[in-house]
Amino acid sequence: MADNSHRDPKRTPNGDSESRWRQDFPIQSGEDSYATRREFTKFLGLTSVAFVFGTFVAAARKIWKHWVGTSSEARSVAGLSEIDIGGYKLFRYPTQDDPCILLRLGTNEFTAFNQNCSHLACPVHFDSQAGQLLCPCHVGVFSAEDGRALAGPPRRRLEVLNVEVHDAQVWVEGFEETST
Amino acid sequence: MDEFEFFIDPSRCIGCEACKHACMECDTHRGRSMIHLEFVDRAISTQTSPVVCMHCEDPTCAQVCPADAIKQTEDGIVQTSTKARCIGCSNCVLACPFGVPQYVTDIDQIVKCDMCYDRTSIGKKPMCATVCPSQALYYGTRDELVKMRRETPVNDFVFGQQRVRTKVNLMSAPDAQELDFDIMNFMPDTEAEPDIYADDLGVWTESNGR
Repeated sequence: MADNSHRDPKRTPNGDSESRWRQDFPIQSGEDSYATRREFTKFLGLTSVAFVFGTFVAAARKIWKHWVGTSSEARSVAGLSEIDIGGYKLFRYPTQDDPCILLRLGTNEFTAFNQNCSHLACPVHFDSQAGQLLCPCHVGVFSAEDGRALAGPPRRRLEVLNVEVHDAQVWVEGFEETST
Repeated sequence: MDEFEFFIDPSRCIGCEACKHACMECDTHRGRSMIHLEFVDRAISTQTSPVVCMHCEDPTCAQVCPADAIKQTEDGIVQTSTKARCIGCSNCVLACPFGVPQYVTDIDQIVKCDMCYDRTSIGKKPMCATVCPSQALYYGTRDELVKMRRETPVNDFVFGQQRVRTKVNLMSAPDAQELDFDIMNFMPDTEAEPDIYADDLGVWTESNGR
């Protein structure tokens, strides 16, 4: 027999089999399924924590925007003769990031809404034939008169703007307080 | 000693490939053989040797796998690569000291013998051992085998700096304790004859004196 005293019987190609990374990538299938299970549980735990945290962040942003960011000063958005009956005009109010839609339903009858669908914030479109606002994403339907949700996934009404007509101009001033 | 063990005696192999075809015919192997025959030295001999997995205690193939695809079960069987994990890098093909894993191009995955885990785990014999006509592949108890053979089962191998203990036994000389392999034993004898391959490649050897 050859002299094998210099050979380390525990030597493996990747060195020490008890190293840290080897615990995460074990060779034994039992330990491997434990590692897989542990990773999956870790994923579930961290994801649910992220969701909870995200919910609070979203809520805080909404509250912050409501109490601080909203200016409700009156603004003229269109001339009275600018829109035909059954027509509409898009504008932004109160900031450049808030798309809104102004509808002319009758001679002196205007309504205005935030254009974001209350479901997943797709922009809603005006269907003057039906007198409804239609969200094309999931076929949500809103009333053009008061923004109530009529059909489809949305449950909440659109955000309604206060509209006034004077001096041959259409003015908007703040959002209507929504009552549930 | 009622435990069933696997014994390989390459000197009994007659090259009939019955083991390979039995392996292909096993339902769970889907027409693909997980073992193969190797010619010992094709230039001078027709002697073949069946290559089934030796199921090392510390499997080199699993050690080198970068995708974590080869696993060893509690009973010491080294499984074939997991379809979902194997990336076909062939690290195991290069690393295995016995030349067991093979890369299969059409599934882009390596395939190796798992000692018919679906059969042996419920007490059946592996496909290859049941069909081998010369019992080069033998699956049975050690007592049974010792009565029939004069060779000694060896499961301790030394490859250069690496010592490998296996679950599967290789039948060897009666007094053998371990088998020692050195890469130099397999190199061409440059002093006995000029190395024609080295000449073609323009490589310096002692014989061509470049």
